[in-house]
Amino acid sequence: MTDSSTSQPMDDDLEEALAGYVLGALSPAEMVKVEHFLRSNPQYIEQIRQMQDVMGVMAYSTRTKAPELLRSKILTIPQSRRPVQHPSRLLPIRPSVRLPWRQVGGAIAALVVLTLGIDNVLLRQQLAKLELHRAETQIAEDHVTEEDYVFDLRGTNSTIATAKVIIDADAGEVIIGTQNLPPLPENEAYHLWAFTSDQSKILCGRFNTNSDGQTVSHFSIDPKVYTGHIRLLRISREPISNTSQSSRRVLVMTSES
Amino acid sequence: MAISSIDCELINGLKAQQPEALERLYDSYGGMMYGLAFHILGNRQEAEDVVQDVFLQLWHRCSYDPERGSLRSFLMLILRSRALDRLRSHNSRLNMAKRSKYLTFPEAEGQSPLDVATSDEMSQLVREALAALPEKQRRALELSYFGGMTQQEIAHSLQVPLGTVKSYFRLSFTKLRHSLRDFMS
Repeated sequence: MTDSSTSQPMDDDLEEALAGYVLGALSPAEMVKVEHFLRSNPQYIEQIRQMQDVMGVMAYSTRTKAPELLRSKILTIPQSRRPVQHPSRLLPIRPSVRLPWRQVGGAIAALVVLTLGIDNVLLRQQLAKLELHRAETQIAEDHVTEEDYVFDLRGTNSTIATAKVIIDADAGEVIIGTQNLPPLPENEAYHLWAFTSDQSKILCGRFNTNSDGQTVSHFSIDPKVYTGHIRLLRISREPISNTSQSSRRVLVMTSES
Repeated sequence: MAISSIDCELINGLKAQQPEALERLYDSYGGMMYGLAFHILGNRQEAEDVVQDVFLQLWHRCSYDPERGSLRSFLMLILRSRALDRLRSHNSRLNMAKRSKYLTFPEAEGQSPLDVATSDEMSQLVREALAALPEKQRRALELSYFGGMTQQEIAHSLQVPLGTVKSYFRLSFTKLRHSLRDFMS
């Protein structure tokens, strides 16, 4: 086969890998491999687009007609308020009920896939790791004090940065997805801070973003430290070496209104 | 990647928060999105929820970048991803395996009793192109496209080697790209 974007014959193995990648049918390890390949060989991204185009057309094969009511509902959207991005919206998700991580992953996937295009593979990789981690730590499943939170954060100073953070305080897991948050130099990192009802301020984790301003990061936290309910989250830009110097700390995102 | 002037207009309108752009976007793609969501989820309410969710996101934060592909591909990718995430959130792998027998492309002719045909020419040609694939190639594609199954799971389900599933995907895409070339952007 000849690849129209490169005018080079395309190896069957490579084409199979790209097809599996586009369908999302590869294992996490294979996904990462293809991801690395595409980064080194961006000329094949056109091949990915062509396959995605085939997938888009395949949707026309379905027969079900949408209900009329759906159209009416969609057309009321302009009158609706922003349900997802409302700043400082704290959503304890059904206290004492564990949030299914696949569902959580879906929420972030939806957030990230809107802009990532091929980069959503990184998300899948993260989610695969999470799944594995969850499978290995199932013993806390019936814990009565477990709490799950979803926060939406927005950039301060009118920046367009957005982030979604999911915290399973009881299981000690945090996952964050960001958009439009500029990458930092190597000696700095974004710091995710949790503020609790008992006036504690806890560092959840540090992260950086890629050149597109995106990341999907997973942190492990110590559940014992979270003695109060999490009231709000903030993200600051700080030097990696010394987080105690508040003068060098710049608030960049918050869940506050 | 060239973007059609209509799609360009739609996206610009959406970014400018023009309600009529949302209406046109839904009229252009909403039906297809719902059809795909319903086929994946097998539940009308869930399908509606997913479509609404995607349109809500598009209205509040339209991040479509024409450089990354056609609007149709973008919408279908988001929709499929959302629907599969939802499916996985309440379906165990066992349920998925049980459900896999329903994950089929609609036939090129005739109608499912539950469905109402969207009998435009493009839909018919797409169905014919899919129907022209060898049975196992089509089956592998169905399980992945509608069921979100991995190659490994499909190999197990079809009782063929993993390498065979990989070649099914490759051959399917090659054939479909050729037979549907008139609809490619």
